[in-house]
Amino acid sequence: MPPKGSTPTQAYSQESKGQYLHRAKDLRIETRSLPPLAPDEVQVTIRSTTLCGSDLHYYTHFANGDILVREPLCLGHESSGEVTSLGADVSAIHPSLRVGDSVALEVGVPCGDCDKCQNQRYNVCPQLRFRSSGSKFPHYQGTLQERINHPASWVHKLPPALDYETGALLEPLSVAVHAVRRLPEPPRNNLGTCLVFGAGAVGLLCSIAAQAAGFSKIIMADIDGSRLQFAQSNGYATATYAVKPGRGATVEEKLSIAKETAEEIASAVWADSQGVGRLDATFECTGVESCVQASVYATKPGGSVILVGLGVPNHILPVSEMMKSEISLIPSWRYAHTYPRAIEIAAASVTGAVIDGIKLPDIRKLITHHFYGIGSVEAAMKTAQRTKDENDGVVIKVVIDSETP
Amino acid sequence: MSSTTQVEASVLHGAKDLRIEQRLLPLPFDSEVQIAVSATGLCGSDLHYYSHFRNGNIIVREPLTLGHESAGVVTATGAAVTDLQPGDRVALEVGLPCEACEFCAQGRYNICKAMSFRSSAKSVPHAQGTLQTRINHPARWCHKLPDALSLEHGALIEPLSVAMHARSRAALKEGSTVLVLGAGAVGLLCGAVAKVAGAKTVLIADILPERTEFAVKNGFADASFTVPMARPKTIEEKLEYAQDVAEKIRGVQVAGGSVGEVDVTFECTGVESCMHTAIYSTKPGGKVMIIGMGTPIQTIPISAASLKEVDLVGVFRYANTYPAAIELLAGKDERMPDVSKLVTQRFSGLSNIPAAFDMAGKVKDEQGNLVLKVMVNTSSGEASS
Repeated sequence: MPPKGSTPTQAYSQESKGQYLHRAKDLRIETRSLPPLAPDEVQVTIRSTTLCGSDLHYYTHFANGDILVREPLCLGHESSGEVTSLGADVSAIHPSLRVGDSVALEVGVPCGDCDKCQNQRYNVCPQLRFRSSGSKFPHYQGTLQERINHPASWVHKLPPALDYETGALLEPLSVAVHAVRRLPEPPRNNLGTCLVFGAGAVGLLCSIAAQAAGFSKIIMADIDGSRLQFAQSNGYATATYAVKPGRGATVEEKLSIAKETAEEIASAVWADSQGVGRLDATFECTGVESCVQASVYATKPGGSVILVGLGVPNHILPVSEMMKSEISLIPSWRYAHTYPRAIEIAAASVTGAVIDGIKLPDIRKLITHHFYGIGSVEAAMKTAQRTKDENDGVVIKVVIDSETP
Repeated sequence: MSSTTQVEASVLHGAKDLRIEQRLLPLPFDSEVQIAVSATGLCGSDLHYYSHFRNGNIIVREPLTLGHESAGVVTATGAAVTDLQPGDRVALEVGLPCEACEFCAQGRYNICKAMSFRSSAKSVPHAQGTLQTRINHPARWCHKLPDALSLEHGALIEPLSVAMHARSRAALKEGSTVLVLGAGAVGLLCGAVAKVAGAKTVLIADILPERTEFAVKNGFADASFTVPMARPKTIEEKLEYAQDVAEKIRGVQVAGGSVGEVDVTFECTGVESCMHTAIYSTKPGGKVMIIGMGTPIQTIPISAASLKEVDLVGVFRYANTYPAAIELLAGKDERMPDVSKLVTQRFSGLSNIPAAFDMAGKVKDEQGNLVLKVMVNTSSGEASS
């Protein structure tokens, strides 16, 4: 992994070599020129990028749900890097920033003026441009390239405790921090219980963010037993539940199965022999309908189901159950104002320091596979698409580092 | 004084099979009061039980007295009751929670698992409803009415509580824009309490223009919208229809501008297409309040809600609302409309309850008047009102 501070300071570069998606599964290395650095921008040499499900969707389908790619697109948005050049106004915008600093990139740039932006909810700003997304045109190019020019107010300095790879994880960790913040109330007395559907990267990160917020007992559910084992042995799950894969043809059957799943979860037992029961909150990280349905039945009356996972556009839901039990379905979309907290959580996780009375599992465990250099992007994507590698190892997060260690 | 009183009760034995029966009512326990029930509003759930002998998947298992929106006069008090005395007029809060569970401890007794709610067949034995001449009820769940409020007002405190609870779950801010789907009694009351909370615009929508016109004319909403009827079949057609309705709603002109997307939608119909419309009509970061009881299982365009972070918030009955509701009705806030306008038809005596239910099932009466809230008056000659 590229050590910080050891790369000599580079002058501003007007070019960046990156991987551009031209068609489904058709990635091509291109060198493109960068515009002159704007006064409010910094140039960042990308050091680490972790891959996300949306990158993989674009790679596989040249689309992400309804969003179509309309021109060659550079993917990647979970990144960290080194500041190599400061625009003329940066000392006023981000006074502590220096050339050579290691930063995490916040790649969603909102308008700053609308009522969403004014009310701390820039993640739903209609004008927000998000690197690597096809939603705006021209596309805001992603980070699977050598360097980018980025607004200085949207980079976050990494503390010494965090290396570049962990810095890249701050983006998906932000998704998790935001998801936990969407709860109407934090858990009381650090004694909350929650259910996380999906033991992939998103679910595991939600677990760490939930632990940091005071959830002391977390049950994770997944169809993949090895993911559950990974979760439990690395301190991400206090208990696990193996979901039986999809059955149920009619609506009645599906809901009946969902209720059954919820009942089985409720009758599970924590390590201290306390029954799990219905959970204070559920983080639904799969986007799978049967899991969303089970989430409603598994959550305590008055509780919330946070929808983190994106799946099919429409779900059949037991609305009357939600109403009678005053359960809220609360969607969580990307993040806003999360990086400082994500940095705190990541630093505590890495150093083992106790944060708010809580000791967190090591977030670095989530990076299971390493690739080096722009040329490795395709191989990295192929690995990231799998749940297990050739040696039967669990694939959680794949990182692409700019340099071999 | 004898230890029991003969009372008359309206008792449901099967769908549309109401019988008047005699019951022996003991003296109230120490912490109870005895009440001569005077006014009872009929609610959609009462109507469901009456028409189908069930409410959704809750089946009536034994003869059941309906009614839960009531007010009456205290006729006797238990030995430990100090706050009430005979002659006091009270609004009845008919849900009795356990007061010991975690939900009760948090002030959320409306979702107490052991809740015993008069007129509901959910728990067995059924807690009998208020459509009877007298009941005994814990004094702490009887709320004294000030002189300014009539017993009919007292009966409206219950549905007003539903609206106030929904509003507080919505955390409605001053200056918000609000959409109310469904201009029946609950929707109208949601509009009213939204106005009182300082909502900038309340737009009320219904398939029946007379109801939304009533709403605007009587101060329950600022603007109205008539939802065009359609019968879309596939999910794609349904969502397209709802998006179309939402677009029209956004374009409604109020105070010289378009309504646009709203901060909060109060969904008071329980109809699936209204849930769709609610999601499409609500702005990013807003909330859809699920109040209406209707189709239990619905296909929801979740991704539309997700990308906008529109919360879907379940709302069930109310908790800790009666005192504020009484204060609101008795107060002189000019933003609060005259809720007695909601009482559109009245019936007297237990024997007329079947006719009252038949009326409650209609949208308009024979004279063409709207049916919004049907009130049953059961006060006997001795009760003062």
